[in-house]
Amino acid sequence: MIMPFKKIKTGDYVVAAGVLLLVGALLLINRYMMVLQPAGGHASVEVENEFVTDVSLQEGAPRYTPISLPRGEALLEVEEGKIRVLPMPREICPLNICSSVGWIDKPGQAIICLPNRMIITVSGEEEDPLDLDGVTN
Amino acid sequence: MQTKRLVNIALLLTFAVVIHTVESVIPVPLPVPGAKLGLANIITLLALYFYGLGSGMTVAILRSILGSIFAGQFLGYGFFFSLAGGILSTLVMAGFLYLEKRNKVSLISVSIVGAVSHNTAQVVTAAFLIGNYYLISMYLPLLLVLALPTGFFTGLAALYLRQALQRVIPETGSAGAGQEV
Repeated sequence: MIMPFKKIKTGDYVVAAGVLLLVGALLLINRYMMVLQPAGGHASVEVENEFVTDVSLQEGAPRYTPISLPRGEALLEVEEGKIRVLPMPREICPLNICSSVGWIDKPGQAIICLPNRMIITVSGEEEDPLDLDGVTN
Repeated sequence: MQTKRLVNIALLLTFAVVIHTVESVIPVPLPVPGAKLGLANIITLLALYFYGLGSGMTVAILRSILGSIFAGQFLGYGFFFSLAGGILSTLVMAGFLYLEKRNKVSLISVSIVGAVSHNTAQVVTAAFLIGNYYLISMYLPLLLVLALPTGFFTGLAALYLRQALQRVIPETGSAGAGQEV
């Protein structure tokens, strides 16, 4: 019979600490890369798989953009480089998960409102969807 | 005795493949793809311990190949993740077994570093195949934190199993013992 905890040697704690250090280092790198990314320039809005509009996050902020949804209207608030969904009445968005996401500002970040099938995605300065020749679905 | 050695390694490989296959059917109660107990690692660890790096590597590689054939995923993404993880973790575990034989660490540590290196190789391979390098800094920490408890328990299991196997496989611990038996 082996008593498990008597088998643990001092070196084991060093190994465990080393693994935790590695995890910490990776998380720090992750954080650093997030900070390094430039803030997004645009946010594209899709409702029910249809492209609705492209909101600039730089010009004229702060401002509000209404988006019409099948069951009502959502209000997007834009501030310098960031965007969020304002809370909606319960009849339109029952759980308000989309508004509780809060501000998003980095390219690739998204707010998804599942009940209304609305997707807001931040994109960088360089990729402007309006530069495309055309979009086919 | 070469024959006994060969038979024992073949038996270890069989155990590894069976454990690998059974384990792939057990659902993991965590929403983390790629996370699993890694029980088959016990066998690789013991093959390394009793028969050295060459045999341990043989068991690890053949286990990945046979295991993925039985799971029906041969040459799929999962196969390459598992193969890369198996090769790297075997190398790293062989290094740590050297420390274990000098009483610096226990078999639990060897198992933990095996799990950690397996996950690392897996995620790095996945990042290369998929082309998303954020996977390494975002997903790997999660897997590594999980590798601590799973590595601990498989290490514990390896401790018990080694004790049992020492009665069957004579002359353990010293390098190259298998040959002279």
